[in-house]
Amino acid sequence: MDLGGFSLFDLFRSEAEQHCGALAEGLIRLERDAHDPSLVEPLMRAAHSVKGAARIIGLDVAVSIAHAMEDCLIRIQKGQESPTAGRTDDLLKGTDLLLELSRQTDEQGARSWLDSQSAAVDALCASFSRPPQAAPASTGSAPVPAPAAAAAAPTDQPPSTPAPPSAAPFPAASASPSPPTLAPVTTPAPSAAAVPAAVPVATAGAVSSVLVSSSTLDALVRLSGEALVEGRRLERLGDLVLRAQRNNRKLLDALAERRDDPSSAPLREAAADMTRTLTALSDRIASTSRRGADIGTTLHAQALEARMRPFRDACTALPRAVRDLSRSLGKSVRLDISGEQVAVDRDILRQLEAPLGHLVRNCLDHGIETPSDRAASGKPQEGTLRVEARHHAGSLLVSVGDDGRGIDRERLRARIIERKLSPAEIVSSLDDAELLDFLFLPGFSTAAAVTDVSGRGVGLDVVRAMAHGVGGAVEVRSDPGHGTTFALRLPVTLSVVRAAMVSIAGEPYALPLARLERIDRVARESVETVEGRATVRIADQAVGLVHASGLLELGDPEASGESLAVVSIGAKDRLCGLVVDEFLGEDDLVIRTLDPRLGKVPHVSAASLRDNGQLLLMLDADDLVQSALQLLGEGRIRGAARPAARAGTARRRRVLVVEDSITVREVERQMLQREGYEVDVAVDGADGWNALQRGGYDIVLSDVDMPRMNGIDFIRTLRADSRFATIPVIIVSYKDRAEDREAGLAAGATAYLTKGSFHDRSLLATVADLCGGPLA
Amino acid sequence: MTDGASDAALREALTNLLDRPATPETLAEHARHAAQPRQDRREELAVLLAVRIGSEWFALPAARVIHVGPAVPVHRVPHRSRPGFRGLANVDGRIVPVADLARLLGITPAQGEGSPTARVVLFGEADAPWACIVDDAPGMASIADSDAESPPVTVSEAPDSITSGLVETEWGRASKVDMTRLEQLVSGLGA
Repeated sequence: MDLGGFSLFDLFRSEAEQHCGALAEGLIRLERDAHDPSLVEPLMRAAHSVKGAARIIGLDVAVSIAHAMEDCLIRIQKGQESPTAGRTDDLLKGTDLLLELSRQTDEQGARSWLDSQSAAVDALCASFSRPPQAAPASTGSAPVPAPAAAAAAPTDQPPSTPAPPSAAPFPAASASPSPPTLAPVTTPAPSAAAVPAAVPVATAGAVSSVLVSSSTLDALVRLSGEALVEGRRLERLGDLVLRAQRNNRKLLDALAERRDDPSSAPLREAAADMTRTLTALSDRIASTSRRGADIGTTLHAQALEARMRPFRDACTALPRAVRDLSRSLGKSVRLDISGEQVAVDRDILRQLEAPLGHLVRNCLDHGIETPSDRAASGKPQEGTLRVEARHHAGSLLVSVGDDGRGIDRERLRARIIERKLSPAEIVSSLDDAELLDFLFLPGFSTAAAVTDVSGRGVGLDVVRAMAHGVGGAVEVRSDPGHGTTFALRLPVTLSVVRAAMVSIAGEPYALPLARLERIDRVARESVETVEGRATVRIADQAVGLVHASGLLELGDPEASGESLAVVSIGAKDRLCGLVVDEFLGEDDLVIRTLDPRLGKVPHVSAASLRDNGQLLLMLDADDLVQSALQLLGEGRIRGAARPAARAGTARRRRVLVVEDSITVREVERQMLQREGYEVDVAVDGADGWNALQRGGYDIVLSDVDMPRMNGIDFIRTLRADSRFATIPVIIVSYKDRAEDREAGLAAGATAYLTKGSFHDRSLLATVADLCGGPLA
Repeated sequence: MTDGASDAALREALTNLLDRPATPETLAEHARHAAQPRQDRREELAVLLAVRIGSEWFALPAARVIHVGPAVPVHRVPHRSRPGFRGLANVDGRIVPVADLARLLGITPAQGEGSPTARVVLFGEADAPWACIVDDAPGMASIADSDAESPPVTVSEAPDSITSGLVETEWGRASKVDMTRLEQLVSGLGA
């Protein structure tokens, strides 16, 4: 296995993550089934492996945590201690710390994070050295060991060795020198040098898998796609041969007419030979291209599949969450996960974790009743929480359901009216689906009391946002008295999107089919103007028209042809008609992320290659609708006069300068005013945000390092607001490292300049480029 | 026959001169010359890719050139129409940003990718390259560094100059490009 591309910390991370998953899962099973010694063994191994991995990269504190956990597990195995709920909590806390550590981005980050956690680590190590809390009756059949025995158990020290409970017995965790009597307890058994050999990555052995960096995987997908394109080129070679065959036939016909001419005999011979050669060539090309296409398609499918992970990976945190939550809520719940093997796109899987957590919490808190309530309604005391994943009709279906009390429709109606979300007469006429839809509104909760678990009204809207974000949907079914199920319908992969291809300003673009309502061709004369805005009736609805080329700033569209190609996007009742040049058909497109050097490009979400190798850009439908509605609102569509022409006299463009240094601020203000701009200033991000509310700015210049709200947060805040989604923002900063530039652009800046740009005209040139010069 | 006698004397003198034993200095000098590693002279040769943009020739150090191939169409990027940046192109399955060198260098516009000799050139970092479309890229030239002439002061003093010297190639006099400066010139263009 070639791990050359990974740092030691990467390896530690992947190993710790894997073992912590096993620990979390195993500890919960051990707690439930306290006397099965076979359950302890793998846990000890996992703790030991993490210890070894941490030691290799010298994370001493992590070594201490893992060591304490291992010792504790040894005591449990020897029967000197029992896995009480309290002890399981300690062990889970340790697992959490190690897992959190493994989520730090780099070694440096890991070390500083460990430093910040020293209090928690000390407390945890101290609690391992204390006897476990008295076990609840249900699990506590084993005698609680004496304190001294518990503390001394890890070594063969006589049980009489005194162990002051407050002292942290781990060298790295305790700043004060340990009492010498404790030394044997704290000395790790093998020497540091011996450990690496004992921690082969092969502990993953059971599943045959290798680590592949995601960039290698992406390259594989890219090249396999290219192999497909090449395959198609071969097919076109076949077309050339067909043409040669046609010409050859003409030649043969012409020669046939000169059959009487003896001199034509050799020519006829040659032409006949040519026919045979061309036929053989055409057959050969056809079979080769077919074979090439088959291999190319399979290769591409396999490469895409390499991006898939089992659904299980999104569920690792669930058993633990369910255990902790049901304990804290005083409920008894069994978690039932099915479809763990179902393949899910890595990117979807990552985004699925938080929504799954929300749904599980929701079911636990609102759905499943307390054991006594359940008993009273004739149900088993233990509730069941079902998490299921499966593929169906080209989609991934994920559901989370409980056998609890179901959703009380009357209480839901009352809550909607109480929150003034809808008038009572409408609420009473809502059908079931419409009614349940209110559950997904941001900030909506039916919980009578806000608990730690849920009821604060955040959660379900997050679930819906995630589903919509990837082009999916979520729905809820609820049977009062019998349970509630939330069902997510998601695309199987984010790598391939079914899209409609259109041409805009002569270049190809794509729109995900899931995001568009209709595609129509409408006669030019059927376009009417309503309040000066171009409108057309499509499917009995007035749809405002916006020219895609104008929206994308690709120049004014050419008015030609009898009809317009209109793509309708947006919500069903407020459709926007995007006028494009032409429809180019639909296809499954492999999504390629945009080059990070471009920053955030408004209205464009990704790039892709057509099967003929042509590059196309994937449009962001939601972003387009936002901007189109803005444009329609302002009446700035083609047909209506442009604001500059309408005003008669030129308007001066307005610039907002956000900068905390008074010197730089003044330099920028004077430079821009001299050019003819109208300039306002703000002293930091928060001030800038307030200034923006007054509106009317054509462009914003912002520094990065500022008090109160820094430039990055300011730009993120501004971009999150639809009013400012497209306003050009230039960062002007002293920082000139590539990562600073990328961070700025990722936050949504349109351009990134250094303060050196004052000295030449590049600042002024960029401002003019982005907003169109001082005069509108 | 004095002529004959002086001839003989001259011949003898010449023979003596040529047959004289080599001095230690001469031997050392010759040994030093023979001991010169042959590559020494080859190391000074730079392999350069000759490209034409409009009517001007440029020589790009081949070490920083990643790929040269038939020109490809360039797709504009919405909201990113600015001088010097042309858009994105598919070069062998890679989607790369394309710089408009003619525009950046302020020279006669290139004919663009429509011309049959046009080529796409990828340069810079292998994992984040830039592309440019040139009107022709007929071949490579190996030219000794010492044969590069200093650029005229009007060029070398210009802040955005990318020329490190002038070289004679078989296609004509070309500006040898300082790739670091070229990369600086295009960096940040797409944003």
